[in-house]
Amino acid sequence: MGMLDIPIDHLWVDYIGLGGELPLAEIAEFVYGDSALPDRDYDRLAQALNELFMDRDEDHPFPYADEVDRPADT
Amino acid sequence: LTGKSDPEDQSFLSSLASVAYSQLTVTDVLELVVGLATQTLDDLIGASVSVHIQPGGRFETPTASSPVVRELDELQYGGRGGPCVDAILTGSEVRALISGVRYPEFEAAAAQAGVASVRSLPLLVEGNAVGALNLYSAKAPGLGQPDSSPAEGLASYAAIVLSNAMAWDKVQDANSRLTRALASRGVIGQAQGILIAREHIGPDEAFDILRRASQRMNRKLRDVAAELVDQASTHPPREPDPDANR
Repeated sequence: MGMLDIPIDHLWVDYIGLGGELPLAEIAEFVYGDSALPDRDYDRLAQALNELFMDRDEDHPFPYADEVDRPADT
Repeated sequence: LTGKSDPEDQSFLSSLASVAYSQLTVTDVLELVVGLATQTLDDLIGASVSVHIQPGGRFETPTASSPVVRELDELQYGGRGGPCVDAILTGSEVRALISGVRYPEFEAAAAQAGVASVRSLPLLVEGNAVGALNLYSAKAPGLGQPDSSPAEGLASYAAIVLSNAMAWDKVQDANSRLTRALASRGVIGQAQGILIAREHIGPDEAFDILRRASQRMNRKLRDVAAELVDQASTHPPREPDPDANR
């Protein structure tokens, strides 16, 4: 996140644009804390981040749910 | 808007205060401020506004009364320093005599342009300097300069107007981001619907197909979705041929 330097509310709007439904507070809790996200929300957030990296000519550096071992709550 | 040449007459400030923000961009407002400064204050060679762009901390001069003034501002940026940058970084007014001691490169260029002193007033918004009003003078301060209050008044009004304009731009920006997000959400939903009907899968599997295609093609997911919707609507699947099984 530090590498991108974008406000969390911008990221959240992008996530909503990709069909996400969780409120800003839950996304912020995941990004800044250690709470887990369901796969569907994690993947939409990962996609939002990857599209921001895409704007910098970086090809999808952020792993999706099926590419990484991570605690999920689904 | 006409300038008042009498520095004692501060009615020009009310003309700034009555600016209709919704009809002006930030640049328009800053041009107004710089124009009023050069028309109102004595002995000025020129004036400009420096802004501190956040995030990133870059300095920029969106408005200057002349190309020379713009060059003098820009000679202070990129870590080289100068009174305008100092005023922003410290949040305090800086009055600098051009003596060639503190900022040799900037001061040499300033002297060549006929500048004897520089006054930079921070534009404070909630205690933070978001920019500075820079006044390049042909005279050194204290040599029969008129009362400084018009410049201070102008800077404080400029800060208010700039702060309002920045808030307005922020709202506009958030508005257009949300509008884009809603359009993107709509087309992605449509593409998911097509995939659900075509492949007999659930919505999350449909999203995964779009997501993988986005990754494979290195294209935004909404663009992949829009193309799929476009293809489906311009090339509908053929009606089943009633004679096919006969």
